[in-house]
Amino acid sequence: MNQKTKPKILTHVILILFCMIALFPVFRILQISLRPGSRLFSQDFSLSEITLDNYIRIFTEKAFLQWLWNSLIVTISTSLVGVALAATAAYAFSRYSFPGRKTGLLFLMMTQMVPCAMMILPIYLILTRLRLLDTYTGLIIAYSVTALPFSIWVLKGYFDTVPKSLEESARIDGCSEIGAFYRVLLPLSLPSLAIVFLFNFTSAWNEYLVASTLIQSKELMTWPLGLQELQGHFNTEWGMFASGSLLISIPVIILFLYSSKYMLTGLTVGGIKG
Amino acid sequence: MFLSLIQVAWLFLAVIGLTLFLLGWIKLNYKLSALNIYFPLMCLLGVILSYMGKNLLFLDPGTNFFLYLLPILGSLFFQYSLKGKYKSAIYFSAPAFVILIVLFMYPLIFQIYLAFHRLNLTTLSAWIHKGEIGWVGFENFKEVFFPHSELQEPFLSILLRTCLWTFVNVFFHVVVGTFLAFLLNQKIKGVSWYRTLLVIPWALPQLIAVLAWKGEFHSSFGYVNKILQMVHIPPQEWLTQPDALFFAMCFINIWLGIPFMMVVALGGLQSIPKSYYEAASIDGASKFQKFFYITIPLLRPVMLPSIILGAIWTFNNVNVVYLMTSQKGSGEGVDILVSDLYKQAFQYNRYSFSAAYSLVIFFLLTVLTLFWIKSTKVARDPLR
Repeated sequence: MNQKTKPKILTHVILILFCMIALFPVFRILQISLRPGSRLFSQDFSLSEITLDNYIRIFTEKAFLQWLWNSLIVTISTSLVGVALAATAAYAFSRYSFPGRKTGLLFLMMTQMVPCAMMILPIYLILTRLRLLDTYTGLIIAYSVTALPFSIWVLKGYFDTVPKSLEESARIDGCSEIGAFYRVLLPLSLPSLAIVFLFNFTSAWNEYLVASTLIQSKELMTWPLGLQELQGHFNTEWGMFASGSLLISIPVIILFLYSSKYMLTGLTVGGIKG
Repeated sequence: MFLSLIQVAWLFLAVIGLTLFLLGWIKLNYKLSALNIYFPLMCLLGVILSYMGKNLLFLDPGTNFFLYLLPILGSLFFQYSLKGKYKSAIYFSAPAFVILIVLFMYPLIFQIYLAFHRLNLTTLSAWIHKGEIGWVGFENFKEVFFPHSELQEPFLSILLRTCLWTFVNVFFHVVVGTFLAFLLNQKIKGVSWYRTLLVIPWALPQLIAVLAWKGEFHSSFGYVNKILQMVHIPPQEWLTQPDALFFAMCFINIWLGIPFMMVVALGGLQSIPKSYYEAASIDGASKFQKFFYITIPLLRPVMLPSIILGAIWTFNNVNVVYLMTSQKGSGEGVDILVSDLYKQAFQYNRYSFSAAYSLVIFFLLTVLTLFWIKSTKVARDPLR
């Protein structure tokens, strides 16, 4: 008995230690955000000083809601376009053999190797020439390809696990090719579509570098630009930065954790249960 | 608010319109490709496009060939590869691939064009308004390897630092991630809680994580130095000393990347059938034998593609380095290749130089990855 419980306790201790390291910044952000503005840099913390001052200030002094709106509109448009394109392409790769199929898959893998920093420059210059710099449209265009190859891979992997006979029987019952795809395969693969949507969503939602290059005017800033600006060159607004970070992180983390069930099965096993 | 909705509505209309146009174009090609005059017709179209493209699409004479090659290459593809077959596959995959070609291949070609020309802050406005740009040949490439500007570190030292960065990060990602996956694969109480909490660094937006850690590494306000003082290690100037800063960057990136490897390794471990272990214990295998002859060989094919992907991601990770160094002005002594590239392009506005620079980086990365894929033979696995 004693020999068996000892390693278990050790496992718990190690896991708790790692959890503490993993959660450390989150706790610190929470702590800083609840402090009054005058005592931001002190390291000790007393319960009597808790204030929601920073949360009020970020809504009143900064255009926090505007940042969120900008991010939301760019992100949702990007993900919708991304999922629609990825689903159709993945269907073609999963169900048909055609000349250039292997080359296409290799090409998708190659795109993953290209540094993001490398793509920013030509896209920046081309958008400058097209007068699309500093617009929502330009940012959505720039984002739309970043997650596409990976989405196609994931969806293709999932479609491979759905039996082909389901669509074939739909075809025999008089369904068209598009109908078989739209009425049979897509409803069956809703969880993986959700994953891909979420993947597109988070990668665009959290993106900083491209946005900081393409967006210049204050009205169009997405939230990463806004938060980065709070950590400005001369005065760092730690309190507002922390409260804004917390407000943004909580929904993102919850969404991620909720979907991570699917992520775990969907990405690695293929999620045949669906 | 309304501006954004109008812009997005226009964009969606444009996307739908272009998709319909594309599908119609494919249909037309299928109809025409049996005719004799098909190929000459497409060549003619290419020439017309290249002539008109100059004024219509703001394309430069040098990259114009892209436009007139499109119908010609397309017609060759239709005539010799497709031969009127594979209709549904082409209809389904075309939209994604056209977008990838326009937004991925074209910028790449444009980058090559740019690398042989001179474009910087002084020549930018002439290029935007008149499309004029000077040819310099291989000068930009020469400058990458033999810098004659004080804004640049020697290429070799940045390359070595990047290799060190990639190796250290991926090594700890894999080792710690697999270790945690082993712990989580046991039957203990609250495993799902631990897993949920351990995934949080992955779920947290990268910008927030990096900036929060940056605050902790601050020499006088941060918690890191306070912890060091508790164990009687002298505090460090984390954000200003290059070596300490590099260490801090590695720490943050390792912290960020562990959950991904953990999840992949856990998925791999859970996919190993229990019966293998049972069979091995009936045959009298020890714990170590089970580990080395069952776990590792079965975990390898799951882990290798993710390790390669992780290495590429780490090599290309601008975010951590850029955010950690941006406020200091320049990251002298800590920049990796891609962050230096970004700074050359957008802080010093050396556009055509950084185009050449990025081609060199891309070439290096391609060679390394192809070599790696070949030597580990994982290419077969994902391509089925």
